[in-house]
Amino acid sequence: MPWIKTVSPQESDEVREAMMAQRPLYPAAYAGSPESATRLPQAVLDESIVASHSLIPEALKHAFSTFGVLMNPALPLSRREHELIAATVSSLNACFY
Amino acid sequence: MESHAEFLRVETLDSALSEAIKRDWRTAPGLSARELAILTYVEKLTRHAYKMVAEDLDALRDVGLDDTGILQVNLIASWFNYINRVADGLGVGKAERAVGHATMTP
Repeated sequence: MPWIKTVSPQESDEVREAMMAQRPLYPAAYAGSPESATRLPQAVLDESIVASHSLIPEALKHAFSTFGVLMNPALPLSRREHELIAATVSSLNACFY
Repeated sequence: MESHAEFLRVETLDSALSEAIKRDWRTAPGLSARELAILTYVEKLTRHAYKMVAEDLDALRDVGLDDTGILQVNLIASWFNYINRVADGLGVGKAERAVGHATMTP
């Protein structure tokens, strides 16, 4: 868990709604069935990175909605290109995510 | 970087690729000219954003990206730079600091 306080979706309707609001924006490959949940990038799946935003639920909603929008298959880049960019940035930043 | 490389491996079924990206993306096998151009832009944006010039977009146009594609490259790269800083700045994904230990080794 992060070094700041977090609020779980069980504790707060606002946090739960923020978490729910961003999910439908993810492409079909990401969201929906339990087995497809395992296909989410860990950067998003990991409760901790989402939870880190939970004291400001509107920021949580918009930050992760933005990510979902950017993964839209109707846009020019392929799934492989999304992942190449993500992995390269995280690697250059020497970041776990 | 573990987690995203993990997903990349699952997605592409190419562990050599994700392992190479962890070390140095320039050594990654089987990247297309378009992918190389994208990662060249992404690296400069991530390491030296203040050095970006209009000509940096030409290499992306040369491999067939339109302005929407260029914007998408920039926004995905920028979003991951954002989320990396959230994670590092708030200790997300790091071991809990043990009680009684004043500092962690960076």
